[in-house]
Amino acid sequence: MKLSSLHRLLLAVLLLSGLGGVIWYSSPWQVPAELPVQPSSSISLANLDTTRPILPLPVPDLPAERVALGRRLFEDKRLSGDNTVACASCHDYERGGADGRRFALGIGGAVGSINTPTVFNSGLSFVLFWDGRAANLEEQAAGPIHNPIEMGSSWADVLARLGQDGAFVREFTLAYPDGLTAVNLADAIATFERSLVTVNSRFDRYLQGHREVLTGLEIEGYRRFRELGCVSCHQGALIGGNMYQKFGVLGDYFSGRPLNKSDFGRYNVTQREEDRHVFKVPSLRNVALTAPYFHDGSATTLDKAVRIMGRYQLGRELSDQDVEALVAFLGTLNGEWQGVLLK
Amino acid sequence: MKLIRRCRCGLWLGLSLGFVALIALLTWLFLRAGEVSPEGHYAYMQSLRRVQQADVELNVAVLGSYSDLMHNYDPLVRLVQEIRSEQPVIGRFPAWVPADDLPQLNSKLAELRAAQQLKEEDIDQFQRSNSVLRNSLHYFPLAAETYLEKLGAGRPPELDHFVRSVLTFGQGPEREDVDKLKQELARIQKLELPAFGELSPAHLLVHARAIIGRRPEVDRLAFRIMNSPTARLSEELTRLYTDGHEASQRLAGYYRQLLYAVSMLLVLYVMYAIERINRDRRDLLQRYEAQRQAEEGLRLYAQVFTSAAEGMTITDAESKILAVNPAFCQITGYRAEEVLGKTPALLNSGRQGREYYRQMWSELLKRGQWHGEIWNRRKDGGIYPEWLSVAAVRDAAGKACNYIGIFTDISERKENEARIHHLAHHDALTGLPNRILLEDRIAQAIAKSRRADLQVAVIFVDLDRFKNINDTLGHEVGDNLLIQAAGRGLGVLRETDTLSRLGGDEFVVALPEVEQLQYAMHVAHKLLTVLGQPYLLAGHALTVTGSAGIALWPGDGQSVSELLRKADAAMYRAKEEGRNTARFYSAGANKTSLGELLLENDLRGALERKELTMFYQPKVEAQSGRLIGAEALMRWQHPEHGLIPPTRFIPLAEESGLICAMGEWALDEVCRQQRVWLDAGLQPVPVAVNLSAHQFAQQDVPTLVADALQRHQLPPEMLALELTESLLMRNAGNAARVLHALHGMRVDVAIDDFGTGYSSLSYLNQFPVQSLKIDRSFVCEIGAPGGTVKLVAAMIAMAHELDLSVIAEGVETEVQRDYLLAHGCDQFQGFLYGRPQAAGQIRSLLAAAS
Repeated sequence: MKLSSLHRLLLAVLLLSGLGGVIWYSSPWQVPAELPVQPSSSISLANLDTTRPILPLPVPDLPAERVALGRRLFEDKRLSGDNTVACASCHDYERGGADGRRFALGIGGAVGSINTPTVFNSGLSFVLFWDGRAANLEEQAAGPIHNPIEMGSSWADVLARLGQDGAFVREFTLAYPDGLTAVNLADAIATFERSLVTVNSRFDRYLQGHREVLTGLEIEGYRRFRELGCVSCHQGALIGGNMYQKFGVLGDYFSGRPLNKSDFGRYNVTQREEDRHVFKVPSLRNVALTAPYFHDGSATTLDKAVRIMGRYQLGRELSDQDVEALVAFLGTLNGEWQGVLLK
Repeated sequence: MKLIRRCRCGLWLGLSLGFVALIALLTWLFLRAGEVSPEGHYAYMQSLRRVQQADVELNVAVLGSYSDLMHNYDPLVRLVQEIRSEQPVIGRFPAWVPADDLPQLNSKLAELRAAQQLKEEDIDQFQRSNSVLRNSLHYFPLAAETYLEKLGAGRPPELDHFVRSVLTFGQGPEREDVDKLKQELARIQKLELPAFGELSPAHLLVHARAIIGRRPEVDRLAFRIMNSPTARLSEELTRLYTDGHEASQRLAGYYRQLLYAVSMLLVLYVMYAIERINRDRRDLLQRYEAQRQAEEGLRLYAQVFTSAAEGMTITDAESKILAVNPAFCQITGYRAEEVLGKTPALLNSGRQGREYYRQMWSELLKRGQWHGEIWNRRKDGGIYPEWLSVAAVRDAAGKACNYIGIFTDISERKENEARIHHLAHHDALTGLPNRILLEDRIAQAIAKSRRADLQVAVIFVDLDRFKNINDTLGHEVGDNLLIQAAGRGLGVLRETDTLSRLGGDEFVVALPEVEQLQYAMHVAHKLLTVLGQPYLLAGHALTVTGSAGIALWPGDGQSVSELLRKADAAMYRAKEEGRNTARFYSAGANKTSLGELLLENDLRGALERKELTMFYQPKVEAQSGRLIGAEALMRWQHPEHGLIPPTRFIPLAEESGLICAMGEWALDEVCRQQRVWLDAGLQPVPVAVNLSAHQFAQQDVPTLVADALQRHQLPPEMLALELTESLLMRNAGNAARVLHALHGMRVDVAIDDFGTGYSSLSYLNQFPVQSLKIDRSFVCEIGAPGGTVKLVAAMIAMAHELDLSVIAEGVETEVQRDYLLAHGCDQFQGFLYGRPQAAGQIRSLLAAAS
């Protein structure tokens, strides 16, 4: 009887497996032809107000451990050839994410040829560097590290140096299971940098309906900012940072000035004539904190910078009232980082 | 064996290879069937769709910016970045895309990328130019209006026209001829126009130039962006990809069908295999069960074989022993290894003849089995009876291939049977046959005698006054007496005769094949004689007499019980007539027999007709052989039947009472003959006349004797009388008187048939008798094997002690004569010295003697 029940069990299993085979065979294998399209980015187009020229900054949502790891790297001088310079050396949180100098100061006191852009809100910029040669922050990070007069190092050197720090390697491996690699290092730094969004500026609050936040002058400044046409290039969430433009589009800014390679701007990347003196339009977020201005650091104050912009980009001479109002408006763009207003 | 192993190795190798091949096939089919992963396809299609959608949205965004409906470029940037981010995804075709499609796909992809790159650059340019254009379009009308107002009425008209033309131009796509506007611009630059503070004609014209320069560029860029082939190319890429996907899908579906088919085949095979295994298992189970039962049966049979009490032998067709069981060894004494390979003839005792075995084999061959009793010989030589069953085992062809013999040692049974038979048929005390056996023997004797046309005698013997002995001396003495009596009785009988004890003191003898009545009486007398000898019991010398009754077949009865009854009746008559004697039943029987009746009638007239004659048998002196006497013996010369012996007519005479007359006649005749011989001058010898019991009892014997002597003037010495012991005993009171009277008359008296009756010499001593005649039955013993001769010697010695002379009767041989002579016997009578003869012959003897 025992054997007989075993036999029955086997038959049942066989029948079930046969049935399963039939079901498996007849199951819909085909993927439905019409697929719902899912957006790849976290910021969907629907959230973007296309009719307003300036938008509030979005709040980033990033993995905290990688952000923390990126910050440590960002502040780590071992990333430079002689352990004297960290990313944070030039991108000082206290100086609006830049260095307050006309040109960057690298290892051994070497001086660069271009003004340091702020690291704040850099994650939202459509390209990096003045000439837009880096498509994203990961690419960008390699630039200063390899630049002989900036950090004078290489990913290989950096990995070798950091690899000797066991505690660091262990911590790094917790955040990145595949361990210490150049890609992961760049990713960590970039992730940290993307977290540097200066939300909750007074102007953002104004845009969100809190009209009382701004003074009359500041509101007047915003009105003139639009009237004068500044907003044609300095628009979007970053108020800039989403297009290229020629420096001196309605007047020759470079005439009578000694030219160096950095002045050619995007031409250095594309070698196209129409890209000569073309630069990324910088973001005006926290602009009051990042003097001196322009790629060459030639404008030491915001007043001067506003006037130069009016002359060469808008093709007009701005009045003092204009400048005063515009500068007042630009002062409302300072945001908070880690809950603290940047100063 | 080796070959089989090699075969099995080959089989296993083949099976293993087959399994590996099957597994490889299934795995391959499975991989091929599942190659088109839905996730991969889904992700790729998603990516394509996103690119297409982003492309469309990008166009919308550009159009929005172009028509001044959108006031920031974030969507443009976002969409361009999205398209760019999808590029590596689209570049990686799923692995299952057919290799044939790859070149086409790659070239299409390259085309798409080039178009996208171009579009990106166009958008970049569009952003730049559109910003500038937008600013100028916004500022130029305000600045121009202000400037023209400041100029007032004196302003050059071409300036007005130019401003209007630029404004119109700036509103829409190329409504004015660009070259004409540029010429106008050149003309106006040559005009000397005043500046008003910050507002200079140069400023105005910069913006006009910007409008004139940027407007067509922006239009052209927007047009190019809108008409970019990216949408078409991505659509084409999608189509190419889906075609490849469908082809792969079909292929995978084909493999899936194959896999399904193979799996189904396997399933069917497994079901078949399970069914097969199950069937085999059932078969095996049944076979196992059958074998187990068979083994159990065999074990049982083996148990029977080894533990049976019956001896068993298994032989082959040639009767060679294949196996024997322990019981065989126990019974025959042979060990198994001693008999294996031999035939059962080893045990042959030789008791059965060749014919017996021949019959056994013929029955065995005919019927397949044989049962019977057979005598075999043990190893130690002992012969024993066994009950043997032999069965032939036949093979499929019906030919006997084995024989199985089963036998039981029945010697014990036989012995038991014999003992039981003996107990059933014999008297426990004496060992003599009992009534059952007796009846059987009588029946047998009747059957035997019927064939031989002879008679059977049944003698009933009863010990006189045995009860007195039992009562006074005890049963033990009585039993001992009976045992001795039985022994004595057997001593005087033939082997074919039967002596049996019916119980108490009753003995019966059956005598088969009896020619003459007298023989039966003779035997009866012998029996009575030996039984009457003294017994030495418990310190006593006891003498017991017996009475015998004789019945004869066929004369006295046909059945056994009738014969016994009649013999019993005769015995009682004998008792009545004075014990220690034997009687025929014949008196009654003769009456019923016409022949005997006629004979009795004849006997009545025989005296008158003088048919009776006297014969004389000589008696001689033992030492010299000289004739010294004779015994007168009566003969009946029957006119028809010839000479009739006294054994036949004397009983008739006794029955009818004629005996007394005949006794008188005998006395008278002997005296007359003696007178004749005396007168003839011869020297006669004393002649003895026999006296019967009737005569003795009924007549005055001395007077008769005296009368006869007187009548013939004969001296008494010439006459002698013979009478039997039993006669004396029965008429004890009368006897002494008669004998003393005779003694006074000087007539000698002899005791006849001494030894057959009481044989009590001390008793005889009371009577004045002169001699003893030893019965012929004793004399017969002399010279015969196993004869009781010592008794004769003792009798002679005792008689001499009593001053009695001894006459031996029936002396027939010289051996008897010599023996008797050696022991002092005085006279002889018998065939050796002369038969009973007529008077004439005796006369010549007397003459010769004198």
